[in-house]
Amino acid sequence: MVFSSVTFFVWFLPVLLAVYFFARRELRNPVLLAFSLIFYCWVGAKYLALLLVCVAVNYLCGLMAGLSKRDRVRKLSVVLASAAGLGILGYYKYAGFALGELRALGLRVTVPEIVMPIGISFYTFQGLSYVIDVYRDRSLLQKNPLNMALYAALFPQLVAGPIVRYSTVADDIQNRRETADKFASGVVRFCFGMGKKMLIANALAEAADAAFARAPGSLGALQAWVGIIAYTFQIYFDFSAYSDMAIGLGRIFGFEFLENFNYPYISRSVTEFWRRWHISLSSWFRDYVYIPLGGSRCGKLRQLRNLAVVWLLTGLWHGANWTFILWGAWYLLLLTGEKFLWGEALKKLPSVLRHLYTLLAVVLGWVIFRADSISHAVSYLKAMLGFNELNYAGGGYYILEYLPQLLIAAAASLPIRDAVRARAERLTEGRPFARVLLIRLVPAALGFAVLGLSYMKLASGSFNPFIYFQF
Amino acid sequence: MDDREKKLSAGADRLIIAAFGAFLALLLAVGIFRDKGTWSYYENRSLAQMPDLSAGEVISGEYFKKLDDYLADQAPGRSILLKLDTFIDLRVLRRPVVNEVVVKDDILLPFLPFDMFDTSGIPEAAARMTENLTSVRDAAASVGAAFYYVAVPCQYAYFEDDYPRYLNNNAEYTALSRAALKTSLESAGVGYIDMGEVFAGLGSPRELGSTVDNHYPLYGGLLTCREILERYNADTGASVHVPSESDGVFRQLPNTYLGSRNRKLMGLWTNDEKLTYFDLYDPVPFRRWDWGIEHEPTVYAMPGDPGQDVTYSFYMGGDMSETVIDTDRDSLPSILIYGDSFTNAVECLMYPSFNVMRSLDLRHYTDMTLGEYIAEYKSDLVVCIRDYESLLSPVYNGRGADN
Repeated sequence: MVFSSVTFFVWFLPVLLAVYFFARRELRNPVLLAFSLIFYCWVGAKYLALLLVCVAVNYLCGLMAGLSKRDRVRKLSVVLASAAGLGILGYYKYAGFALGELRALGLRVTVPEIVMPIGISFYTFQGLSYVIDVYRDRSLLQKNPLNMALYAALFPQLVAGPIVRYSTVADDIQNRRETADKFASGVVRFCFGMGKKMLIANALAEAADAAFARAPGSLGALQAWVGIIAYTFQIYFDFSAYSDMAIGLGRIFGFEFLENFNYPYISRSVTEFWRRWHISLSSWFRDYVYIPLGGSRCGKLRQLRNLAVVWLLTGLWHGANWTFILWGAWYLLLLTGEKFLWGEALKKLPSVLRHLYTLLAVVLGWVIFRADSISHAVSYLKAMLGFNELNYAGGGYYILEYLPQLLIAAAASLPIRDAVRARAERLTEGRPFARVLLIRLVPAALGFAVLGLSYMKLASGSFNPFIYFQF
Repeated sequence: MDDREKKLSAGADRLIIAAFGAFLALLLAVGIFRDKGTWSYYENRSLAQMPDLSAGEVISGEYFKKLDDYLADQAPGRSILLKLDTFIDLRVLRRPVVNEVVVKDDILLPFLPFDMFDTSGIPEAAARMTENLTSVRDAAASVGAAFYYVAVPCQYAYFEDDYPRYLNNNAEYTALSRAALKTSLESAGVGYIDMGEVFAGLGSPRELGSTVDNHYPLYGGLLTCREILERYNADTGASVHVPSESDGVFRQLPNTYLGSRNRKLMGLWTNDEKLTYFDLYDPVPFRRWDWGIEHEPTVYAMPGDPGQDVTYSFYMGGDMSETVIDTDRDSLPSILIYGDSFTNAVECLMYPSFNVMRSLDLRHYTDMTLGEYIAEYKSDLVVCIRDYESLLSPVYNGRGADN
């Protein structure tokens, strides 16, 4: 089930809210778990079974890691959890790709048709982080299997993140308090998340998809640029919308998830971009791969190796395709360059040039990321550089058609909201009514207007894919 | 935060929660209690139905996909919101293309995707089409009938210069495919009539195209009818009556014409175009059968209420798999017309000139092959009418005699 569906918004959410808040406190976790399982069941009961297997494996490995006094057993628990989690992920996500590549090399292998269950990359990583965290800190052990299952299957973040660490929500699972303050702020966050998805990302997806669907030779430079700029906004507004909705829903039910995005497109270096983009994934790789490998506290060659491992895995995490591996390599190149070669020089450049450099690097990265194949990426880049026949038709149309969304997306990529809020706070110092009006009610009213328009799009439209479901 | 601000904040929170809760409760209540529709008029489609529960589909997830489709189609307020969404795009944001319709002040045109057709495949497609049409021509000849393939301009082709420069109008594809097919059919000796050339000869008056629909108005049908019969008479020495404006009078329906383009815009684009019918001075009595079932003897689906919107289905009642009109005048020849919906206006004017007029739409008719049908009913004249968009399409009405 997706948040931006009639099923979720009109049926699932109201019923869940009613049942949850009318239930006695001790029944709220089971209610939330049951609804989370129903939520995931929407992709097919067989995939729900897979999720439950993952939960069981991680629960048992957690028990081993948290209760055993023998270090070898505790280490074994991490190995087992890793083998199981990565094995399942490998089978469902990479087996088809790997066997296909072997077949392309001439080996006689059968390539099975494996359907990847949505959200598998998220819940396997969460499960792994749980076992590793318990291995590192026994006090995090969760002995109640229902609570463990709730952590793994909690519906707001189940299928598209953010990747929530167990340590982040361990206390919330057992001792959270749902408050009006959290509920109201969660509602507003959810409303804006829905708007980002329904009003901006979905519209820009059409411009991006149209550009990437054109025959390589007929794509004009203007449309190529419009298409990739649209995709740049689409992927941000799509994915951050999901995170906003997840965080908002989490708050409604008393959970506090960490932020996943922090205005990534205002970054002045690629290094900064990755501190602001998909924070839960980059911090996961930092804490569970990069630092255990030695991080930056080692020689340059080992640092390079560590970075290479992290970026190869980051690329692969996004999908089983050479484009994602190349995309990871692109960032390895940029980040290594910034770390060892041009980072200091970059800092001395005027801010505007640093922004331009970062945006260009990111946009070129999205070309590789969005293309169907490396040859498609190359032909798209050639179109952007004007190698194809000059043809302004497609680009002109998509600019005119989606100008409102492009302008709103550009504005909403900047921290204008934070600046307005800070100014409103200063202006209303000592004036409680004005403060509540400006800081709580006006954004909420705007959020409801956005929600109304989003519902209009939801009820009337059908173009509604979430990009990060595929990862 | 002082006490007053805390109190106010708490009140604001309660207000936000109440508003959100009320909105969700309203949607849920409407979702539960409203009548479930089965048809969406403006979208011209059946709404998804509640799926049957089956263990296999629950396990695979297919059941939930169908349930999602059903619930989406039954979303509370959907019909009104569809209109509101279209209104915002049309009037507030003033998008150049709304619901795949190019919106101009005086005309609505279809949005044509870029790269819609590949021009490099035209010669091959024309050759394949010629092969199919040659087989139909031969099947017709085997029963002594003449055959003509009639190409008519669809709306986007007739008004291709009306497209803004930043949009695709398929002009290159249209020109190349017309030229290729003409050359190919002429060399194969298959009768070919291109109504675009006829309309161009008249100066391409705007009245020969619709501002809100893909099809030509009835007058375009009359010109097509005349061109076919004049050509038939000239080629065969027959003296079939060629209908003309002196046979009757064109009358306008008072009803709003909801063309397919305007229908996609939920009827929100106001237009004064009206559908017309041809009121014969000397009506020819006839009997009509659709799919073998006798039908009211009329070729115009007259609306009962002048306030009711009318669509192009006004002509012949829309696309039928098979229609037979028998005027019971054995001395006259008979005709078989097949093709897409551009046949409908022609048929309304063609039947008075024949003893029996048969009409097939091979998108729906599957009882016999075209060759079998021609052999069975032995019409004197066989005509296929297709628009420029499907001119080279070898499927359905473009198939050969034996398919």
